[in-house]
Amino acid sequence: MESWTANAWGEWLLRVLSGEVHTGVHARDLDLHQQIIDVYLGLKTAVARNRFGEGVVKAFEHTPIIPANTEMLYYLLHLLAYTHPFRGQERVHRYLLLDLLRPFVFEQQNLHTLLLMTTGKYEITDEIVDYIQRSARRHAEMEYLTACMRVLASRDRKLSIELLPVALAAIQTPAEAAALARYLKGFTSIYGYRGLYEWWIVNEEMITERDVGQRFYEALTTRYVVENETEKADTEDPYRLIFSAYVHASRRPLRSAEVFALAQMQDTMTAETLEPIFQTVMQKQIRTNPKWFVRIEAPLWGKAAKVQPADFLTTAADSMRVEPEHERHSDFIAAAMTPLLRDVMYIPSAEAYRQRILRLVG
Amino acid sequence: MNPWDKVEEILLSHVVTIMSDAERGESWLNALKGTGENGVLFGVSLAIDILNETIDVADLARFFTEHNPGDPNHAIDLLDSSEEIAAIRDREPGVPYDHGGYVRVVELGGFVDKYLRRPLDSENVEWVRREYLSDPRANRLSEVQNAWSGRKGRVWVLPKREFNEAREAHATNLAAFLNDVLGLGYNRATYAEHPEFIVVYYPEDFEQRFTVKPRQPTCFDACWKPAGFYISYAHEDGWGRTHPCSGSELRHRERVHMKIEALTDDFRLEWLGKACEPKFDHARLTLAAEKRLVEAEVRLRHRG
Repeated sequence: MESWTANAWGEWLLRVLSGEVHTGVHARDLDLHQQIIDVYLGLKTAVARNRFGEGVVKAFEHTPIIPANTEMLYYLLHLLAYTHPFRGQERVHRYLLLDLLRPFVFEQQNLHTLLLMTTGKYEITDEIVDYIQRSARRHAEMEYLTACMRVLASRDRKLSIELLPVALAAIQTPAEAAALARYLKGFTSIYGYRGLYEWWIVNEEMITERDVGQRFYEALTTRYVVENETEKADTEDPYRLIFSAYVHASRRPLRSAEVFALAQMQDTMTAETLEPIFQTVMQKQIRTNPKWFVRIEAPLWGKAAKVQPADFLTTAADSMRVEPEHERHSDFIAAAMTPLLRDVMYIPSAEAYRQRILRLVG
Repeated sequence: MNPWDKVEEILLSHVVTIMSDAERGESWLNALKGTGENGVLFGVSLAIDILNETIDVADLARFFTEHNPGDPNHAIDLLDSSEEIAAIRDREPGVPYDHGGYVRVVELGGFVDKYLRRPLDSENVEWVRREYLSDPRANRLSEVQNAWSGRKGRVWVLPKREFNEAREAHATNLAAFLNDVLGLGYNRATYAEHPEFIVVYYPEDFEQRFTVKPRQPTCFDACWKPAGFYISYAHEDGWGRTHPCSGSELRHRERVHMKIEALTDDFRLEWLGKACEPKFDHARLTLAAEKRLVEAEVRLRHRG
């Protein structure tokens, strides 16, 4: 086999795929394409492996795109993705742009989705990016969408994240929410959390306003894209903790350990970066549970994160804007924050604080 | 006695004798014998299943009658792809289900390919590692909604209890141990130097909640193109037994079920480790097959 030409490989592959000859690979649980890949891996030289790859292209070229060949095309796509021979790109791109394999399904796997994944092995040209962005909107089903996002990420992670609104809109079931969360687990593991966080703070309304919001939140937590126990600062990727706190902040009160963990971020990130983040998280917390915030969390923020008194006034005023009964609420805030006023903010009395808040609220 | 002689004797007395066309039955025997070791191993497992009454001889006789075996390769192809001879005996009534639950041990490439439906190239496998294996806590699997179970649509499972015992006893080389003892026989991986294995834990109430029921495997559940390390097993407990690639005496109980397309969050995943290439001993495989056939005859006599 080491000396076989590309033509010989092409012929052999077509004979194996049509069941005419066996691969001779022994293992209990290997499917046909895995057996063939095992043969490829057994080749000793790069020259022989290249010829094998060329043989895959030849077999692909000589397999008409007809329903009767669905199974063969399925295996050939796997082999193309594995060997990605140089000459395969042109045909893979062409079939993709023409949507040629979209009608074909083998064992519930759409061959167009498989072709898209194979495309990811080749250069992602502008033409392909444009095609993926358009087709994702036309064929918004989750397996295809996450495949689109993975392929786009290999060209530019921002392109991948830009498809998130389409994917979010496609969520119909918990399983689809989980599939998207799983994609984000991989994405953040490879590219870090910053890109996702920055997208999230701009587009958050879109997520929370949809019915899928709760479903997606649950999927993010059960797949640990969002940390549940953020009690330690993540020195490797500070945005992981920030993203988690940010996502939780509009849904549940943060625990004291979580606030302290966030405060520790000051050791790794600059104040300019952190202050607006802290402010946003605090404001979200105020809206989620204002009483909890002023009674428990605000003093913690003050002590642990050394947030400036003026910031507290602003956030407290914000909390009042969302509460219909300003007057009564200001009393409550003032009373609850008395220890903080004295120890951290150096404001002499609850009444003085109340007056300042009321002035801010206008 | 040569194992084939016993196979022939059993097939003649149980199957060919009830066929209207005895000549066709004999041509099947000749075709099987003509495939060499593969055909003999298949024949032994077939004979064990007949003695164990896990397949219906009437189905087999009908199959032999309706299909011309042709040359030996064609014969094994027909048998390998046949869905006409269903397993007739599920768990024996009166054998209580061992409520330890099931697990499936699967090679990482198989997980990527069958559960996630993605190509096996290194980039895709790395994405899967990041998505599924980078965080052991993120082990739920409800996003798996279109699982494939390979050409034969079978999923092989073992009792969780036995898996846990193996894990305790082989903590440092669990993946290698399972690769051998379960007869998986992976000698290399498509994505790394050594094959890696993961385990899928089934929900405790799997048998109650899912329509697919694990049952004792028969030779028609195994792949014979080419043959792996499967040998049928005669026992009333409703479980098959694995045969290790190395031919050691260790056996694990095993069952098979048809594919489940949509998993739920109570299917859990865990990475087990890397395995080295097992030792393959095909001579012992043939000996073990012969031994199991003798055991099956003894059981039949006891039962009779």
